[in-house]
Amino acid sequence: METITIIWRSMAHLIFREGTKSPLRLSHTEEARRLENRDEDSQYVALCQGGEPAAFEVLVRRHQKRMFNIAYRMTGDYEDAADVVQEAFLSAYRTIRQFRGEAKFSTWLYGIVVNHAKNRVRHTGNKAYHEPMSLDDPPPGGKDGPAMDPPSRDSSAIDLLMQKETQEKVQGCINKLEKEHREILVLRDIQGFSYEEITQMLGIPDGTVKSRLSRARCALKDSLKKVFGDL
Amino acid sequence: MTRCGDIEQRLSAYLEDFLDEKEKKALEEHLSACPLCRHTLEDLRKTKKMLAGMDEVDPPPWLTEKIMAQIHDGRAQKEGFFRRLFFPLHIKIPVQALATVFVVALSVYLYRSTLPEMANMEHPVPAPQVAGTQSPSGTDKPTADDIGKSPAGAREGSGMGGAARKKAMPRQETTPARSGLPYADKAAGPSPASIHESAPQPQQSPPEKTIAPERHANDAPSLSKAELPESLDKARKFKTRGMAVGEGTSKAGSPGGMPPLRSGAQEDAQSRITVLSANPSETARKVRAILRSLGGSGVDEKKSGQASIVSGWIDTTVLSELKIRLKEVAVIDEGNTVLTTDSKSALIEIVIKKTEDGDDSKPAQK
Repeated sequence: METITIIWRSMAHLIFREGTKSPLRLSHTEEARRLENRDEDSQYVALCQGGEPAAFEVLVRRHQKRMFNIAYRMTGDYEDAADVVQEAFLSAYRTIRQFRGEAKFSTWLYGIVVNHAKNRVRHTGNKAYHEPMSLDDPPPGGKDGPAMDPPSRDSSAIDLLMQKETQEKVQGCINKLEKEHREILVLRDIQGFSYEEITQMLGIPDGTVKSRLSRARCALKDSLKKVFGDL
Repeated sequence: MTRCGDIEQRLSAYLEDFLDEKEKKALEEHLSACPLCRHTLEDLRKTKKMLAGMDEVDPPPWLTEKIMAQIHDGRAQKEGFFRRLFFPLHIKIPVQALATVFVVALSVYLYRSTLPEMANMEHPVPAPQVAGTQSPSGTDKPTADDIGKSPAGAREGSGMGGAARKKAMPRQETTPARSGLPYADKAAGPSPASIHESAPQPQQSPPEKTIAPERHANDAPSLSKAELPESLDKARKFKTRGMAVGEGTSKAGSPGGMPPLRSGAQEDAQSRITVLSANPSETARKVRAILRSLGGSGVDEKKSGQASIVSGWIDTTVLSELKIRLKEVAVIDEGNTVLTTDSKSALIEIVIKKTEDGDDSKPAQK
C-alpha cells in the first residue's frame, strides 16, 4: 500500500514537473487518453528503471493479457504461451533500462513477446498439432487452462461449441503457417495493431509488412479451405 | 489484360484500401469480369473476419504472481551474486591473509630449523671427528677411570648423541655438535678426557698403548658394552663418507695400538697421524696451516681436553710431505699413525696429544 502511494505520488510529480496538462484535462479527448496511457506506462517504466520492481507489477497486470494472447495464437499452446509471457516479462525487466521511449512501451513489450514466441515455435515446433492426444490426457493448459465444459443442449451452447471448434480449426491452420506469416496475421488480423506498430515490433519496413501480410492471408485462406471446404 | 495471379496478390491491399484510384479501378474491372477472383476476394474477407473473430484467451490467474516472484528471485540472485563477490573483501581476505602469514611463518621456521641438516647433507662430517673421541691407547671402550675422570665428556657425548643422530650426513666440520658425537663413550675413538689423560710422554715408546686396551678391557663398564652394538648399528645407518667409528672390543688390541676403523671408514680411506706436543693448541694451529698449505680442504680443529684434533681432506700424494712437515712442529707417534693411499684423496686426522701428562692414562710404554 505504501509502495502504491509512493508510485502514485511519483507519477503525479513527474507529470506536473514535465509541464504536461493535468490528468483531469487529458482525459477529455481520445488523443489525450492515448497520451495519458502512454504517460502512465512511461512513469511506471521510469520507476522500474529507477529500481522499483513494484512498479513493474502494474505493467505486468496491464499488458499480460494481450501478451498472452499474442503468445497463445503464435504458439498454439496454452502452457507454452504462459512460459513465453513469463520469459518476455523477465527479459523486459532486465532490459528495461535500455528502453529509450522512442516507441510506446507496449509496442516494445509486444515486440519482445513476439520474439520469444518465435523462438519457442522454432524450438518446439507445432507441438499442439503434432503430438498425439489421448482421451485420458488432461485438458490442454492443465488445470488452469481454458475450461473444457461438456456441451450443453442449449442452442446458444451449441453455437458456442461450434464457434469454439471453428476457432480451434483456425488456430490449427495458423499453426501450420510459417512463423513469419503467423506473426503478421496474429498482430494485424487478430490483435489489430497498426502497420506502424507492426513495423516497430518486427523491425521490418512497411512494404515488407504489407506484402508479407498479403502472402500470409492467401496461405491461411488456402489452409482454411482445405479444412472447412468452402469458406 | 490483368492476370488472376497478379490480382490475388493485390486483393489483400484492396481489402485494406491501400491501392490508389487507378489500381483500384483496374482491379474492380477485373473482378467484375472474373468470378474466380471474386470468389478469392470473398474467401479473403471471410478469412480476415475469422481471424478478427478469434476469442481472447484469459491468461492463467497465477501468471502475474509468478512473473513477479521470478523478478524478485532474480533480484535476490543478483544481490547474492554481489554479496558473494564483495563479501570476501570484508571477511574472507583477513582470514586468508592470516592463514598466509601463518603458512609463511611456519615455512620459515621449518626452513631455518632444517637448514643445518641440509648443510650437513652437502658436507659430511669427517670421520676423525667421531674417532677423535676414542682413547688414543686403542681402547674400544672408555674405562671406568675415564668415565670417572671425564664425566663432562661422557655426559657431553651421551647428551649430544640424539642431536647428532638426527643428522643424516653429519659432515660439516664446524658443527658444534661434533664436539660431542654420539659414539664418544662407546665407539673406538678416544674420548677427549682419555686423550688428555693417556697422552704419552714424548720419550715414551708407542707400544705402551697396548697395555691400555688390556686394562680397559678389564675395567670396561658393562654400560659401554651394552651400548656398543647399538651405536655401531646407528653408525652404519649413516654411511657417512669419512665417518670413522671404532669397532668392538675384539679389535681393541689391533697391531700398533691404533684404534681400528669401521669398515665404512676404511672404505673411505681415512688416515691418521698422532703427534705429541707440549702445546697442542699451538701445534694444532701450525698443523692447520700445514694442511692448508698442502691443499687440504675442510680443515677443522677440535679440542678435546688438552688434546687437539685437526682434520681435513688432503691429496694422498702429499701425505709423505705432510708427515715431514709435521715432524718439524711435533713428534710423530708412529704407533698411532695410519696412512692410507688407496684413493686419490683421503680424510686425514691429526691427533695432537700433550706430552707433559704423566699419569697412568697416558700411552703405555712398551
